[in-house]
Amino acid sequence: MDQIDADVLIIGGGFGGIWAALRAAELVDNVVLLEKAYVSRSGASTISGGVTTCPLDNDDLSKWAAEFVTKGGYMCDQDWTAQLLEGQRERVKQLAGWGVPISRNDKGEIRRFASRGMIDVRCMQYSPKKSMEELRKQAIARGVRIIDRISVTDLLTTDGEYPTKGAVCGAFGFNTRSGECIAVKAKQTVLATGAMSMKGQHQIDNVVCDGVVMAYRAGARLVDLEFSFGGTFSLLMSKYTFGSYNVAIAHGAKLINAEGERFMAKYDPVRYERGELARVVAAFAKEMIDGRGPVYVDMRDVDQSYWDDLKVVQQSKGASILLSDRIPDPKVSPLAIEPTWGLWNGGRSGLMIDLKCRSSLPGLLAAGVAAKITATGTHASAGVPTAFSMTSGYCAGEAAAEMALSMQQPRMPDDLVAMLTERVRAPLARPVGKVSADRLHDSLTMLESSVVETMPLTAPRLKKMIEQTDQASMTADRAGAADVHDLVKLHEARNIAECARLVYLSALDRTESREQFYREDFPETDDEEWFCWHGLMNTANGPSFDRQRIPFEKFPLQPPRKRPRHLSPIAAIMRGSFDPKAYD
Amino acid sequence: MTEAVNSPVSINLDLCEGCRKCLNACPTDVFGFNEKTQKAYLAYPSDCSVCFLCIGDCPTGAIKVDFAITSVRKHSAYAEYDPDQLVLDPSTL
Ligand SMILES: Cc1cc2nc3c(=O)[nH]c(=O)nc-3n(C[C@H](O)[C@H](O)[C@H](O)COP(=O)(O)OP(=O)(O)OC[C@H]3O[C@@H](n4cnc5c(N)ncnc54)[C@H](O)[C@@H]3O)c2cc1C
Repeated sequence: MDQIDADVLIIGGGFGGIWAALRAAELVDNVVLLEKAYVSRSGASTISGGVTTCPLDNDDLSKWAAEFVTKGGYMCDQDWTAQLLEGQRERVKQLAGWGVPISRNDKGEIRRFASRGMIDVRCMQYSPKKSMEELRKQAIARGVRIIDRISVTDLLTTDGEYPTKGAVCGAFGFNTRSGECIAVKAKQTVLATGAMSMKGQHQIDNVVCDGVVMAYRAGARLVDLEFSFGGTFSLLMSKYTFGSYNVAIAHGAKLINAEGERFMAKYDPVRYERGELARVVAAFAKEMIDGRGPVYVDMRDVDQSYWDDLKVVQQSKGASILLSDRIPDPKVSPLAIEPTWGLWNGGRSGLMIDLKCRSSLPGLLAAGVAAKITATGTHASAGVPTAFSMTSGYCAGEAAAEMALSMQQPRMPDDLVAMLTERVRAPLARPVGKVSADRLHDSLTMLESSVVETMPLTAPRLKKMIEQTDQASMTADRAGAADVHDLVKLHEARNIAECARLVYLSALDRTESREQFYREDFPETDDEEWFCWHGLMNTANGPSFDRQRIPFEKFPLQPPRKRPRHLSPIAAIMRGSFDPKAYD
Repeated sequence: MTEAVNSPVSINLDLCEGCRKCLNACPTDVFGFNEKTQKAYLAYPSDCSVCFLCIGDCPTGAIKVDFAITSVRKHSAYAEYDPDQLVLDPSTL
C-alpha cells in the first residue's frame, strides 16, 4: 500500500490531465498524475482524428464566439466560449513551438479549413499522438510525477462520507497489473478521466465512466446528462472504423443514399453533411427507416490534400482502413457508412465547472470532457472537444495550484483508506460466478442498439433501460474477479451501469426534445421549461435534479425572443416535415 | 510461430525481440511478458480494441492487428443487409 501527499493531484492523462499537470507544475512543486494506462498511449486524445479548433493572432474571435453561441442554441456560458478561444490560440502556439506536426500549405502556414457546420470558425489537422508524446515529455521536465497503470476507483473526502459534506482531498486506486493499492492525499484534485462511454464503441476501451461516477458519488453536481447520447459516422461497411468523418467531409466527401441522392440537400442545402451532426445522424436514420438505405460515403471527389494527409496520419496511427486493401477503393466506389449512437458524452454533459474549472465540491476541479463543455452549448463541434480539453486542462492546473499554495494538507478519517482497500479488492476474494466482467460489459452494450433504434427515446423504453441498469449494478456488486485485470473491468462495469442509469434518469426527467436529444413522446422544444442547465446531484435521498437559469444578463449575446413550443429539428426530420429555413 | 486467439491481434514470436514497448503501448493491457522466453505474449487478446497503438510502437513488425472486429458490442444498422449492398457500383450513378 502506497500512501503519498501531493499539492495537486490529476486523475487521467489525456489532453485535459496532462495540460493540467504541466501548468500546475509551473506553480507548485508536488504534482502527481495517476493514469489508468500510459500517458501518451491512452485516452481519446492520443487516438483522436487530429482536428482541432485553430484560432490565430489575426482572427476576430468575437465572430467565432458568436458562431459558437448561436449554433449552440445560446445554451452556453459565453465567458467560457471566449476563454476557450483565447486559450486555444495559446495552446496552438505552444504545440507549434514544440515542433508537433501540423498540416501546412506550400508557404509553411498552418493549413486551415472550416469547422463542421461553421462559416468563420477554422480548424487545423495535426498529430494528436505526437502532441501527447511531447506533452508527456514537457510535464516530466517540469517535475510532474506520472504514475501509469493506476485505475482510480474513488475520491478521498475529508469526512469519509459519500456524498461528502466536507471536501475532496485526493484519490484512491490500484495498480492494474500488481493490484497494489495507492492513496494520494492532495490539497486540490483535478478530475480528467475523459468521456463517458461503453466498451467496444470507440477504440478506447479503458475510458468509460469512472471519473464522472466517482465525482457523482462524492457529491459533485453533474449537468445535462441526457445529452450524453451521441455518436458520429464511424462505422464503415458495418465493421471497420472509418477514421475522421469531420476531416473527410471538410475535403469533399458526401453522403448518398441507395438511390444515389445526396439526401442532406433536403435538410441543409448550405452545409449538407457538414451541418449539425445530430441532424445528419437523424437524416441517416430517416433514410434507413424509409427504405433508402444503405447510406454510402462517396469519396470520389475528395481533394488530394486529404489523401496526402491520410498517409501521414496512417504513419503515426499505425493503419487506416481507407488505404488498406481490405475494402474496395474508396476513390472509386461509394462504401456503406453509418453512425454509432449511444452513451458517448463528448463534453455535452459532465461535471459542471466554472471559469476556473472548479466543480461544486471544494477541493475538486475537472478538465477535459469529464466536464461539461459549456462553451459550445448544444453544438457538437468538430475540434472543440480537444481544444476544450487542452484549455480547460491548462486553466484547471493553474487554478488548482493557486488554491493549493495557500492551503495546509487536508486531513481525512484514519480508517478511510483501509475501508476503501477492502471494498475495492473484495471481488478478488469472490468466485467469478456465472456472469464475468466481460459478459457484464456485453450486456451493458446491449442496453443500446443501432442508431435507428436508439435515437428515439420514450418513457416506457427509458424505464426499461433503467431497470436493466439496476440489474447490471446488482450483478456487478456480487460478481467476483478472476485476477487484477478482471478487477479493473469489473469496476468499469459497475461504473458504466451507474452512469447509464443516471443518463437514462436524466433523459426521463427532460420532458422535451432539443437538438440532439430526442424524445419521441415529447417531440417539441419547450423553452419555457427547459432553456436551462439540467443539474443532477447525489443526495442522502438519492438523485436530485435542478434547473439552472442561464445568466444572459452578464453575457454579450442575448438570445432572440423565446420561441413558442415547436417540433425539435430531429422530431421534424423523423416526421418528414423538416424545413431548413425554420431551423437555421 | 504466430500466436493468435480468437481476436484481432496476433504476435509473430520469431520477430519479437522482447523490447517490451507493446506493454506500454496497449491501453487495455493485452500484452504480457514471458520472463522465461524474454518475449511478449498475448495475455488478454480479447480486450484488443483495434486502436493500432501497438503497431506503431513495435520496432520489428511482430504484431499484427486486423481491421475488423466482430463483436457483440458493435451495433450495425446493416446487420440484415447483403454484404454486396455495402458497396455501391459507381456505374449506376
Ligand atoms: C476515435 C476518436 C476520434 C476523435 N476525433 C476528434 C477530433 O478529430 N477532434 C476533436 O476535437 N475531438 C475528437 N475526439 C474527441 C476528443 O478526442 C476527446 O473528447 C478529448 O481528447 C478528450 O480529452 P480528455 O483529456 O478529456 O480525455 P482522454 O484523452 O480520453 O483522457 C482520459 C484519460 O483518463 C484515463 N482514465 C480514465 N479512467 C481512469 C481511472 N479510473 N483512473 C485513472 N485514469 C483514468 C484514461 O486512461 C485516459 O488516458 C475523438 C474521439 C475519438 C474516440
